[in-house]
Amino acid sequence: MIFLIMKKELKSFFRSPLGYVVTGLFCLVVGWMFMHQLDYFINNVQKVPVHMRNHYDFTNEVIIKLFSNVNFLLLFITPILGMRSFSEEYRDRTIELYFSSPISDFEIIIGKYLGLLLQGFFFLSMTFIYPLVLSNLEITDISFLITGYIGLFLNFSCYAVISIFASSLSTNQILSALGGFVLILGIWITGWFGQSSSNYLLAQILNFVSVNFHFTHLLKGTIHFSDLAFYFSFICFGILLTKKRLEARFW
Amino acid sequence: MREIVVEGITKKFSNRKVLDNVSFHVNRGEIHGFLGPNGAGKTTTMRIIAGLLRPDAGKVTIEGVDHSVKRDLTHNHLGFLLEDPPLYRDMSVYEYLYFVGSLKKVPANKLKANIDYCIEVLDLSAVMKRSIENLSKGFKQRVGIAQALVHMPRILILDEPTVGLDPQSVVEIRNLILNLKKEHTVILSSHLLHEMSLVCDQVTIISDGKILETGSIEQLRYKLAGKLNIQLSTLKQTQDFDQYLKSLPGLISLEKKKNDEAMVYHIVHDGQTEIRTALLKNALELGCDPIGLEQKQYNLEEIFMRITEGKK
Repeated sequence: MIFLIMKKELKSFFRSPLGYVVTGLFCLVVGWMFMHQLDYFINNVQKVPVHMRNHYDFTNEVIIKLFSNVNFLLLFITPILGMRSFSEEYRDRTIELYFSSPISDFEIIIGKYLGLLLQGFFFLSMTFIYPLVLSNLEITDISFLITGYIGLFLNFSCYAVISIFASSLSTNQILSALGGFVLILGIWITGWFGQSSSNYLLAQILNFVSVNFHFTHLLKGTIHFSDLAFYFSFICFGILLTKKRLEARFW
Repeated sequence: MREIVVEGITKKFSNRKVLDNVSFHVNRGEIHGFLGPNGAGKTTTMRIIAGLLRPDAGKVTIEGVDHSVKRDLTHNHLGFLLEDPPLYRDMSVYEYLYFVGSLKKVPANKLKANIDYCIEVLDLSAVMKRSIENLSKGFKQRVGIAQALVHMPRILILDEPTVGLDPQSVVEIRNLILNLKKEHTVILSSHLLHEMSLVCDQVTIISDGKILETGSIEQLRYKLAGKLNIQLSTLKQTQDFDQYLKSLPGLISLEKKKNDEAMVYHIVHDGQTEIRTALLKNALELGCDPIGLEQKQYNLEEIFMRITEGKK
């Protein structure tokens, strides 16, 4: 049943003009950012004396910045991708098809969530072309690439669960997208406060609840168990909130 | 056998009581009409029966199983179309029915036969490969009915199923509902009271969240106007005949009015005894020259109006 719902979500995405518009814009912006970073790196390397060129690490200057930029774009794109999940179903009353079927709310949420994750994977796969183009240059560290992509995907997973929750709050898709954006931005801002707080304990707490704090570890090529535990807990919490929201129909 | 029993359901939305102690039952294999003015609580009642809402008090049992508690047991017994049909506009008709059937966990080998049946009885074969987005309102409504049927539920809840349909389609849907009666129990709501009177075995009239009357159309008719509602026309009027009418045992009401050349008596009688022959005989003997006698029956529209207006 989860697979059926996931398949339906994916079909719906690929049939919608919105999916293609967002994909096109994403590719355009990421491509431009990548070119800009590459251009900047090449120009700077040329100006630096040969014996100092090792300081200009290609991975740090281009690949990690590319990942950060993609992460920034996901802040805007994920709520747009997720806004339809429940809002549209509520608006068109198709949600009643699910509610009147012998399937649990959990299956509905997981089906929709997996559908959205695959859409996210599709988006991220659009960026595979950039490391591939550079692979012949042998200047990128493959482990950074793998952990970077894992980080991006995990970040997207968190943004997706927030977007799905936001989508379950309103029948208006625009409001849902806006709600999702504000919630994700809230998680980002929490991290900024964490970095600037002078109170050690508060800073630690704020940092820990910020996805970008954990993302930074993965960007550095390290995978900590605590980071994975955070992402897992975050996603479970988001799914639980959405489940509670669906159950509110009986309140 | 009682298939659906609604017992004392009450529902509030933000402190506004939408349903107040609503009780009625629907027997297996019958078509039960649900009538009421706009905002009476029909759709809310239907949504509660469908398991989409929970009542604040009371319960709905389907074949003795409490629907609000054990929804898993009763889910697949129910198919419904409430208000606007729940359609995925980007799907084709066939794909949509396949998806809904799969959601209802209909086995794949049976599902194809069910879809073919729905397409045939709802005359959807011409549009089965077309995107739902491009269908006319009437066809969308038919697809909505098809989704309610695709898992072959025993109970069908149809809220205004003929909305937006042309007169020919209304007749087709009426015939379809009558055919469904053989194997399904149907709860039907519509403002087309003539259509309702043609298909419904029982009706429940609701207003302001309260059940006003429930029973067969015949029972309601009798309850409203007594068994006999007679209109007698005579050419003349005599005091003796007037006296005779006033002294009739079992008389509920008597009205008379002049209509062109004739005098029309409107007699409502309890129907315990047969009076029509005696009426004609006495009218002749007492010199009234009777020219016509007809038994008037309230149609469903008149019953509905009298009940809902009478309770205001």
